[in-house]
Order: sequence, then structure tokens, then C-alpha cells
Amino acid sequence: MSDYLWDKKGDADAEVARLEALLGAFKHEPRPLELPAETEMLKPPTAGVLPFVSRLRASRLFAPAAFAAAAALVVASVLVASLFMRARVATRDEQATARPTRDARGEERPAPPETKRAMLEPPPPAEVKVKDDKVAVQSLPRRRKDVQLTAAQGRRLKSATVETLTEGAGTRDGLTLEAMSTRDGASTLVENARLLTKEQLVYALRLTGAKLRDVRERAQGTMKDER
Amino acid sequence: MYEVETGTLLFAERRQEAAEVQPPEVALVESARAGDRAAFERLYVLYAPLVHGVLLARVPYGEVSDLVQDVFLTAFRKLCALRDPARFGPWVAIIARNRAADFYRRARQTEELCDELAQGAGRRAEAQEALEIIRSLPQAYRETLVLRLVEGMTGPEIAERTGLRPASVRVNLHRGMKLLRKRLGVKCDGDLKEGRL
Repeated sequence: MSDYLWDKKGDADAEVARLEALLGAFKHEPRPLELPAETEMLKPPTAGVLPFVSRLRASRLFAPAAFAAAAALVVASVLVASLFMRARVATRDEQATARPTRDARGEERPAPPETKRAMLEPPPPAEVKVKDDKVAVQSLPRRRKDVQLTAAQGRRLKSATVETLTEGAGTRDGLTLEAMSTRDGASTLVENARLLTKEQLVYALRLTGAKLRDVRERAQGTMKDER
Repeated sequence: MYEVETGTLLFAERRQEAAEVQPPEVALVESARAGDRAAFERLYVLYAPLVHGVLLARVPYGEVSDLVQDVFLTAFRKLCALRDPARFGPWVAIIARNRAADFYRRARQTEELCDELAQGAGRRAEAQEALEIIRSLPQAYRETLVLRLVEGMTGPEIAERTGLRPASVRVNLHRGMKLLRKRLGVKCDGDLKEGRL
């Protein structure tokens, strides 16, 4: 192997020397550097403050890594937003179920803690007082016609759609649009209507019983007088 | 444990030696970064043959001189982007390669026709023919051969300036020379025939 080709030492290779002489015509001819006077060095934007950022940006993986980070950020924000909305809706449902409802007499009554339990429990007993040999039923509808009207309203509530319920019973039963728009809210509305009907029926039965008792006592009193 | 400590010590010693034997371009690059234009002109004098050779291996001879100026102008403007001042040579060679590629991207393809070649005679025509044959060689060989045969650099100088390993430069030189001889119609010498390269 010729050492001359490597470091120009030793015996000169004739072919290499010939090519050197031949191609030497294209050798670089020294020429002064022509730098315009207004030419200035470009300063790296963040090299002095954050050198690791400039190195990171110089990396080939910077663009795909930045894209992946942005995508992950978007996905995470969407997840957080959906969880927040769910929690908010759940809180509204709880507030709607815990809101006090109104019974047939227009008095506020706290909503039952559990729907099924509330259905089994009897309504609060009405105060029945006997005064001057007459039955006085307090906090009951004054006339039988009122009882029939409230019962008819209850039936309408039971068969009505959600939209009509919103108009008619929204304020009375303490239900809001948001509460009724959910599945649980609609079932709560139906349960409340059922309770209202049951309550009115019990009142009607008690009223009838009280009247019958009154008639029987009167009849017994008349028989005693005759004897 | 002892080996690890010994290795660490050796590494530290080598680093210290490397720090002590800094190439001259490091100081020149630092001075040029500080605004010293004379230091950059000194860098130009040192590395202009390298850039000239890299360009000559790719673009027509008539364009090389202007492109060398363009390359050094770009290098001056982007000198702050150079991370390791000791790697100025490889860095400016990369700029030259990119500039050559950019030249072919922008310019229309033209055939170089010098006066001597047009006349069909002369020593320069032969040189032009040899240069064209070198340009037809693979990239790794043609750049090394141009730096060696045209710019007159030795193998160690080429390795130092381009940042390549000396062994790689040696292999490129001899394989490239073998190919060049074959294409020039010259028989290889006895060593090449034995395949020791």
C-alpha cells in the first residue's frame, strides 16, 4: 500500500503525483473574504436564558413530542370537563329530590328520603276534633267538590306528559325543568302524583267515616231519647 | 470498584489533556462570536480549502468561488448556533454540502464548458475530464479524493478538518483511488490487486 496517498511520505506514486499535478489547476485560490459591513450574527432566541429549551427545540423529536403533549392536554381537559358536568348534574338531581314538596292543601312538606318507603308510609294524620257534637275536620278541603277537584287533578297528573306536568305541577310539586329532564326526575314526579292521590283518598275515607260516625251517634242519641 | 475509579481517573485525565490541547479554531470561534471579524477571517483562511473541496466535488468549478463566499457568510451569521467550537470544520462542511444541494435546487441544469474544453485540447481539458470522473464516484470517495488530489491535503489533515476518523479517511482514499484508476483505465498496482486495501 502506498503511504504517499495517505500522508505524502515515502516514494511518490506516479499516478497519484500525476493526478495531483493535473487537478492542482482547480485548487483553491486565496481570495479575501467579502463580508458586508451590515452583516450581523443571528442571536439564538433563548440560548442565554434557557439553554435546555433551545436544545430541546433543536431535537428532531421536538415536533412530534409537542404534538403528542398537546393532544394529551386536549383529551385530559375534555375528560375533566365531562366529569365536572356529571358531578354538577348529580348535585342538581339531589337538590331537586331534597327540595320540599307541597301537598294537596298547599302546605310544604319535606320530600321523603326514599321513594318506596315514602309510598308505604301513611300521610301525616289530620287533626280530628269533636266539638259541640259536630265533627270538625281541620286542614281538609272544605267541600266535597274541592276533594273531587283535587282528585281529578291527581289523575290528570298521573297520565300527563312531562311537558304538561311542567306547566301544571312544576311549581306545586317543587320540581324544576332540569329535574324533570332526567329519568330520575320524571319518576319522582310520578311518585309525588301518586302520593298526592293516595293522600286525598285517605282524607275522603276519613271524612266519610267521620260523617258516618256522626250519623250513628245521632241515631243512637235519638233512640235513647225515644226510650 | 478499583476499575471504576481507575476508569474515572483516566477519563478525567483525558478530558484535562483535551482541554489543555485545544485546537486553535476554538479561540478563533470564541473571538468571532464576541464580534472580532479578523478572527473570522482567520477561520476563513484556515477552512476555505476544505469548503472549496467540498463544493468542487459537487458543483461546477466556475460556481465554486462564489459559493465559498456564500458558505462563509452563512457561517458568520449562524456562528452562535455552533455548539462545540472545536467542531467548526465539520459544521462549515455541512453548510457547504447543503449549499451545494441548494444550488442544484435553484439553478437550471447547465453543462459546464470551459474554453480549453471547447477548443478540444489542452491540459485543462484533461483535468476537467479527471474531475468529472471523480465527481461520478460515490460521495464518500469523491469528497476525500478532491481534498487530497485537488486541495493537496494529507489524510490526517482531511480527518482533522472534516471530523471523520482517520481510519475512515484512509479507507475512503484507497477505495476511491482504486475506483478512479479503474475508470481512468489505469491498472492498479500490485498491492491493490492483492486486495489488501
